Amino acid sequence: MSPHSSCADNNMMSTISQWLPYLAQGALVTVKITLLSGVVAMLLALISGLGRLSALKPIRWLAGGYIELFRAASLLVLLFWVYFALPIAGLDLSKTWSAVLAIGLNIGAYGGEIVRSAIQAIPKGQYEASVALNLSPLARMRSVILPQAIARMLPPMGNLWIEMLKSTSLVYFITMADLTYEAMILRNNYYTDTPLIFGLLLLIYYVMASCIAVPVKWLERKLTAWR
Amino acid sequence: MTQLAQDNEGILESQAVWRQGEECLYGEKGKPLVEYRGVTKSFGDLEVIKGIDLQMHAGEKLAFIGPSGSGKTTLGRMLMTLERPTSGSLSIDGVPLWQMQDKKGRWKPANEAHLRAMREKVGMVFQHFNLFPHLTVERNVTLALTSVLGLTREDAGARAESMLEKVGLLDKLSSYPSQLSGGQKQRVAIARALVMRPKVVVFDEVTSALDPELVGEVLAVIKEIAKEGETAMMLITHEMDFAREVADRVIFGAEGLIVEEGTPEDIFERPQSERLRTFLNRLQEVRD
Ligand SMILES: Nc1ncnc2c1ncn2[C@@H]1O[C@H](COP(=O)(O)OP(=O)(O)OP(=O)(O)O)[C@@H](O)[C@H]1O
Ligand SMILES: [Mg+2]
Repeated sequence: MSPHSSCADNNMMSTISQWLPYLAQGALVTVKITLLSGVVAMLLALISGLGRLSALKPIRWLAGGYIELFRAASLLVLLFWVYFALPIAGLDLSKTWSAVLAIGLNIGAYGGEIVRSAIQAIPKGQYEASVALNLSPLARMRSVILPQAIARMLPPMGNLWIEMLKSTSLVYFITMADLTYEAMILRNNYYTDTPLIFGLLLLIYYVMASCIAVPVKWLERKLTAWR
Repeated sequence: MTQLAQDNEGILESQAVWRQGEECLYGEKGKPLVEYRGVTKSFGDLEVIKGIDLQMHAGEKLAFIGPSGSGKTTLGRMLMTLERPTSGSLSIDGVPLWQMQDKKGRWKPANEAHLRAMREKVGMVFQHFNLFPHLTVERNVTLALTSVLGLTREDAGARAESMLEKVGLLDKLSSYPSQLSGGQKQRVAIARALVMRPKVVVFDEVTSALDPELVGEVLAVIKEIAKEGETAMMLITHEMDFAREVADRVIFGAEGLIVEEGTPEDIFERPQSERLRTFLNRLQEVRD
């Protein structure tokens, strides 16, 4: 390698290290929103997925209505709605909680379908055997159906988490200082480095997605050791 | 005598009369453990059980034979509360399974609590085993002991071990179902049902999903348990030799009705109806 290019490399490294604190700050916000939205989404997914399978018609309808409505909703519009429209209706949420609510509602609806179809994929004989053993309805769910359904849910849920991580970048539009937002600021200041900045942005999202995919894979292997 | 005492006497008398009537009704064997009375079952427009009257007594081994689609499985599933009869009544120890009385004594459809109380007396072994694949053999057998009967893990473990010893699978305690042969799976399923000590167990063609060379080990286990005698068994089966050997009574059903019933000798040596003769002959042909 020529001395010149090595010098350029050094320059590049030092520029990147100048950016890193900003990007790290943004990444932290992205991680925070992902985790909080994830908790909301998983709760909503479980409730709506089980609700779709309830013996009670009103509960089935309610859960079905939620899933249909929020799955079809554009996340960006939903985000605007929560952040700009709800305050007019008297509910003034912070940026973070607006983002968490909008993403949680949207992703939770997708999750509800995953939960429902995973539970429905458990062979009927499993339910019947648990009835024959006189397990209570709760124990049937907890000890027999859910452990098997969760193993089935894991791969699609892992994908959904990655989808959710990526969709958090939409909070840029309500001016939250997440990873994408920080990258856009840097781009304003280092315009000629735009390819590098966005390349770096893609790389960081990729690393964060791997941080979801790898443990999910591990968990899946652990939970399906009986197969 | 006070009015109250007279009333009481009246009640006792009428009960005594009723008891006598009951003895006439049920014969010297006394009250049946399981009783089907005019039971029918339809799936949509298809009536698959067309009026069954049947009694089983404590410890009785009843074999149920008949052509495919005659409603044998449906009959067993109604007893296991997996299928609700369309009409008629089904009772265990004299208590209706699918109806219950409210506080004012009016009859209404059974709720989950009533069904759970009744299910304590019934168990079932399925054609396709239906073991819980995510649990070890031991946990398959102890799950209901801890979850339903409230036993500690140790007590449940001890009870499960003695049951698994009976079916010859003590060495498979920590295996998962996927690591077992079909015959072994079915023996675990038998242990899982019997460890709850039900009064009656439905065995629904428990060997028909097995490779021929594995049938013997499962039937041997059932015969062994049948010898102990305490548990009544409803053996739905296509294995005629097995039915003949184990059953106290054989029932031949076709198209949702009981066509013929009697001792194994009656049914296999002196079939009365044309339908049963044809059925047995056809089985014989298949074999030859
Ligand atoms: N859930 C159901 N819905 C609709 N029809 C059913 C259902 N279960 C059973 N049937 C029908 O009821 C009839 C009796 O079925 P059942 O399984 O009780 O017969 P079987 O005597 O056990 O037959 P086999 O010897 O083949 O097991 C069949 O015609 C079957 O198709
Ligand atoms: Mg059948």
